[in-house]
Amino acid sequence: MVPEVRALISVVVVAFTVVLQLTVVDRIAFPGGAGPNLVLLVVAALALAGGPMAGVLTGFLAGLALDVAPPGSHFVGQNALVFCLVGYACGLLAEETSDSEQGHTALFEIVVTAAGAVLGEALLALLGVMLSDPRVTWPAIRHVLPVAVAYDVVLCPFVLYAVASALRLGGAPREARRPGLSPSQARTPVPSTSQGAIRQLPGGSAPRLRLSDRDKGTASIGGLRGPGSIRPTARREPQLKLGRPGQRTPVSVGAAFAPAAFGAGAARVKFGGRRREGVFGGSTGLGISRFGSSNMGRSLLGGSVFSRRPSSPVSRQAVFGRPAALGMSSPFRRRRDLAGGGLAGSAPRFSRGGSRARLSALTASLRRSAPKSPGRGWLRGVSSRSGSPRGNTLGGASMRRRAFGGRRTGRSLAGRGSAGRSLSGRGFARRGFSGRGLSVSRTPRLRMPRPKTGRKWRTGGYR
Amino acid sequence: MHDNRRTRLVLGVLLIIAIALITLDFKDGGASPARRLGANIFGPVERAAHDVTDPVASVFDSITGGTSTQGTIASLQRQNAELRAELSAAQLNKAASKQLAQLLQLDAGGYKIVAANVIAADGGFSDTVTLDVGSDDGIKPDETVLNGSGFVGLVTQVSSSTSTVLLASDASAVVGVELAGSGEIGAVSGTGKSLSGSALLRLSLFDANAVLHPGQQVVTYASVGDKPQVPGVPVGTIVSVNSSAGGLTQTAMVRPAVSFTSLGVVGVVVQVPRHNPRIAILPQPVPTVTVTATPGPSGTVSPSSSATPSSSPTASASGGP
Repeated sequence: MVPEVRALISVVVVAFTVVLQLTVVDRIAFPGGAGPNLVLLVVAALALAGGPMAGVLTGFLAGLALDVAPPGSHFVGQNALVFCLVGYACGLLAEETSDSEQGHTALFEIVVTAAGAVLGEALLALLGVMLSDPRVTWPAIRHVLPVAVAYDVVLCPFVLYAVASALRLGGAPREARRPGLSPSQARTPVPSTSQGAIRQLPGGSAPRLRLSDRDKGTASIGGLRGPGSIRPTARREPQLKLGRPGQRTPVSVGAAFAPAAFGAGAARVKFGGRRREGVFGGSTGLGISRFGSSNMGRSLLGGSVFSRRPSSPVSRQAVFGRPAALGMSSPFRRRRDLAGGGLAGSAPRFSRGGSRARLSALTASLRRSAPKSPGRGWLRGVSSRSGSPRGNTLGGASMRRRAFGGRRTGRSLAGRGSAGRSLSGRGFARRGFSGRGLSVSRTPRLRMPRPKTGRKWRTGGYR
Repeated sequence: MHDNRRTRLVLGVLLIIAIALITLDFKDGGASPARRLGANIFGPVERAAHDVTDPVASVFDSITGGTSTQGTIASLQRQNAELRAELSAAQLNKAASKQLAQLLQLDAGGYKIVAANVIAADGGFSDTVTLDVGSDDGIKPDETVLNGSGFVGLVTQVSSSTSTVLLASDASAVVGVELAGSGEIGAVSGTGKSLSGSALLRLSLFDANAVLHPGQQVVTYASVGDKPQVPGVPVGTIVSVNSSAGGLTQTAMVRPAVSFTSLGVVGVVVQVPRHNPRIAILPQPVPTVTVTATPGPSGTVSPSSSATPSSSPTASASGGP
């Protein structure tokens, strides 16, 4: 979606919600003495979909609108301040986690939105106390806060769904536009590319895998932002490099992937498909894996929404192999860049597509050169490297990695750092995926024919 | 990284702007130009939205309005019948017209009243509503807002097409009152959200020796130039007396005459009668059932009309099916 369209939709949604809140919701005498704050929920949802910057801006504007709209009797700026912070927090949380994840699960989004609502309501009360608002007394807070928070939490899924569908309104034109932006890649419909990717994977030709990955990436990118046109080119570069990583030998690429890619490329590919499902489930938590295969588990906001975020496209690919959503933090990501790029040996390539990618690559290389925080990255790189051989020899470890590596292989080929992913892969293996991974890897072909992956791709919300 | 830094910068700038706005508004006492601007922008929008959402809100009001008060089974059953009947649009209109009629009776008492609809409310901790009348209709700040049941609140801000009313139940609202019989004066302040359940008002009498007992009527006290409130408008009924030994003032809890959660049609007093009308508009001391019976407050204006709350529901029930 073009950023302008997205911004426009956000503004419309926020304005509509503000009016709805004031003229309907606040007039209803909810049992309990307090009502939900829809504007707060919408801000959190938009931040979740758009990232921290979008969250900050929409939060501020929505809060300001709520402040100056007629019945408001608190000080102008109170809501703006709080919503701004909530938008930032939610956006940051979403971005950092999505970087490692293909998309968020619905549960994750709901949890984040609810957390944002709780944070917002609490901050509003706190700010009222700080400003010595005569209405915001401790007894009042005790009565209002729990009830308001409860209503907010209950309404979370509905607001998320509404926001997602509103954003999707603008998503349709984006699909149409994309072809023009990136002729070659964009034209291929998302599902077909994904299928193609899968098929190629069986073939075992490393480059193709990468291509497919790229295509996916572009698709996701197109979903995210207009500049998709630039990114495709950036991605192309990765292709070339992808060839390299494959040639580089497993060690250079990243212990986890390399062996799998060369040794049993096809099998891994399949895993990737599978993995995805597993990943979704895994991301939210062990128990939630069933969500993975159903739409329920998918992000309410849709992968496309998230993918619009600048940094996400890259991350998106990484997403599949990534660890639990909540477990991912920004430092984590950066470390991964460090480890992947600097240590694993895929230089700037690992970075994301587009100018942004270049920037990040630059920063990463800078970091690499600087002695700054080498510890973690190094550790990871080392560990991953050392791990790979081990895995090969032992078999079990390697298998685990392969299980997760379907995606990763693609990624590694794409030239991204694999260290972080390999770590995540291990994490999954620990969670008990290893067994599955093994079996899968052994019988790669059977799985290959399955059209499942393609379907999932579609359901994944890339539209 | 790059984007994070930029985002953080924007966040910082916006936070500073927000704090600056709060500071300015704090200094201006809540009447900053930003609010006027907002009223001009959102006022018309809310007016338009009210036309669309009023039926919805009314239905919700009628459903949820009574849940906070305790009633007997019989009264609840009657309420159900009424609510069922009220669901039809015709009945909703009828309720509005009834409120208007009560306002007109006030009008007959000498008040010059501008009728207005409540079009928006503020959630959270404050109890404020927006009316669809503004300075174009002759509304000025500090004017009294009432409905057929009694005192609603005071106009605090006015834009060209809307005005904001601070309800008497707001924790920051203070209204000068006197006891209907004894003439003891005091002040009624809202309790805001600090009380769960039905919103009561807190009355504090200035005379520590005055006699208070439940059931006494509380009406507004005259103020200089009839601002902020006009005299003689019923505020509520004392439900409990807090006898605090050694206190300088006596306090009591007052059940408001109007239901603040289901305000529909209200009137803004733009001109006061020459004679004191307080007795004429004193409502019959009806039990609280009438407050919860209909979406619109259904208190009575004169003793003769006290039968209307009970008669109208039956009429509407028969007319509904």
